[in-house]
Amino acid sequence: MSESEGTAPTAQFVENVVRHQHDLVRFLRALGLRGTDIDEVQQQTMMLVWEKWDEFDRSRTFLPWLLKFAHLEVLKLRQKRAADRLVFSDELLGAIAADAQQNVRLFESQLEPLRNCLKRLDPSEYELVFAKYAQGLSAAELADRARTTAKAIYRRLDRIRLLLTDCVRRQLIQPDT
Amino acid sequence: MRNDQPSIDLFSDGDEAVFSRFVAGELTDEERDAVDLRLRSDREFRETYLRWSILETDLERVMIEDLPASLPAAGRRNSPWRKASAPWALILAAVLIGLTLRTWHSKQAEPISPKVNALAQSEREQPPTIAVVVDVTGRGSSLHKGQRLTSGRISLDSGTLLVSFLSGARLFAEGPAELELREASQAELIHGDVALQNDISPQSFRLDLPNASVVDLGSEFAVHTGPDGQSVVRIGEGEVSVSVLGEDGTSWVSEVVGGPQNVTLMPRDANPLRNRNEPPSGPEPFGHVPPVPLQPLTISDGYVRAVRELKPAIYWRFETLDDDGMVPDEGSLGCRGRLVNPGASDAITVSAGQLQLKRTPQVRRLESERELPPVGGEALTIELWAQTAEVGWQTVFGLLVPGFPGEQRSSAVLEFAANTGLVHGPMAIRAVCRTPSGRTGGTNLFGEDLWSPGKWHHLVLTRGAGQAKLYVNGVLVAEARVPPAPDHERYFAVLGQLHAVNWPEHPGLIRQFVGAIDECAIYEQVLSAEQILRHYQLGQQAD
Repeated sequence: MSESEGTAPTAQFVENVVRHQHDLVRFLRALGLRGTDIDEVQQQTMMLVWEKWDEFDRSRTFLPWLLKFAHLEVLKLRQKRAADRLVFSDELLGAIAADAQQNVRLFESQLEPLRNCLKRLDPSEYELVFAKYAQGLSAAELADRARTTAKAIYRRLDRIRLLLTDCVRRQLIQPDT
Repeated sequence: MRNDQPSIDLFSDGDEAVFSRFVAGELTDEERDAVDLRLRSDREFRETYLRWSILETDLERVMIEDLPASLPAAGRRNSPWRKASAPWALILAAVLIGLTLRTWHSKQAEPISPKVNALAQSEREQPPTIAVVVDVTGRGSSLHKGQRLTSGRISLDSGTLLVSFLSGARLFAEGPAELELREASQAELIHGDVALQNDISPQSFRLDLPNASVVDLGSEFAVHTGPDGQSVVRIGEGEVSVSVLGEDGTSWVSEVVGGPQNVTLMPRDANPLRNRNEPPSGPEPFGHVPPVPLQPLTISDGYVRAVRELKPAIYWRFETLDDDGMVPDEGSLGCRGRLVNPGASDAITVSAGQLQLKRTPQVRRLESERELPPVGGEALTIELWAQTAEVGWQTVFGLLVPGFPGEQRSSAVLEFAANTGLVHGPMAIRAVCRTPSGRTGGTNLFGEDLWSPGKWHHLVLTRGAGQAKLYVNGVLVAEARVPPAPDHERYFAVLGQLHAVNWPEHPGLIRQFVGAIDECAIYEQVLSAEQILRHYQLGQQAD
């Protein structure tokens, strides 16, 4: 596709990809990918989607179509890693991928409400979230730091998640001021 | 729909415990199978998992992006690229390279390209390059600077010879001397004087002597081997393993010797290894490998005019530093270059009209003082001159998306490639494009067998109209189709080192560029082949 013919489609491609880039990361993590595997599959998915761009029905939603190709790339990666012990069975991977493609509303959560809600956590809760996600400490390390058990840490994180989820839902109804 | 749950207690620990441990692979096989079964059969549970995973991803992103200023070098809170309100739209970014072939990721389903065949064919037909001549003095030598060396004998009647092996080791010989080069990390001194330095390569270098051998363990040492087969080894820095060989060619007597110290090897003697701290009575082996002589780059006014006519967004000339100690920008953005050098050493300086970089355990690089705005939509050209002092994997230039130290994602990288672990010819120039920006993967573009230490190279990357092209010294050496990538993310440019942290246990990730860089320009347009060639030719001319 020459640039003169494809200016509008090119812009559409870019717009769609940019808008859903974080959704792609969410999807890949839901399929169990971490670290450099996410980078690798992202790269490959982008190239594949670009190659197939002409086949995309512009009247349909882009995200399910994007996730379909991402799923294929994840399967290719798993084939390359056939010797590794895989956490997700093939059937489970397929079920999660299908759910994600059929329920793209799950990906509609935005980051800004989450940021606002994080500010509303009390200091000890925020510190726990910070230690886990910014510093990358495991449950065992967090438990050691807090002189408690990993089970207790998990329960605290469950509670924090509920708080954040509730808060984000309310944010989406009424923006913070 | 719920299936019967297996009789294990795991699910009573709560979703966080189940899902965290499941994806981390921390469950026993029985527990893992139980969770897998429940996820497959219970749609509601599966949706709970999806929501958990999405929130997990979002929390990680938000917490890392919004790191407070108290964390070391995490991105200062007041840094303009840490805008908490900026949406995290992954950069499709400066896609600058590709292959003329398909990428090696997608090659699995596609026939092997002619160029890969040609590379393999070339390697089969010709002896592989194992070293390159960096400098040679003396009359009558058939060797010349930049000459590729394969395994074989070198006779040096007089003068000196400085050689860089592809392993990264450097050898300095003074004539008269006779050497046999064997591999990128092995040679034999038949007679004469040599010095060897191997402080950048993780591989040991083995220097065979008559009935003896010296294996460096990260060191600098010198050897004199006389016609009588006796050798004196002077260890300057580091350690070496010195062996006298038995009749079967294996080590008969050996010792690890640390510098500074001399060792005399007398293979026929009952006491073949003699440590001596006083200078030997015979000819003194010289002890030091000289640094690679770097050449000046004299840029003509015509070159500068040609660059300015094209109105670059950034144009760092490295003529001087301003009052703030920054490199002035003669481009339209007015974005200066900041010398990052926490060690406050002379590891990175602007002198003699160049950006000069030395090897150091600390981080040192030049960074754009602020993030660059989306540069020119899809069209982008990066142009610079670079001269390296070493053979190794070195990053000259990078376009990075800011992140936690060590987590910075690159959208484009330009490198001198040797000992990379990738498949390419020797002494290649490498460019890599990542869409979206990342820390691995992407599309590689290689220009093969193009560089030598101690010589200036004109490097240009262009991206536009779904194409990326790499030019070296005015010649197009590689091109590829790439997805369109207008910039929506703000990124910054770096010279001299890619990552902001040094990992001693992963030296290959550091990739410090050692040498000099000059005339770095970033344009918001795709320069044509004619313009690039003209720049290169003007750069070769003195006023």
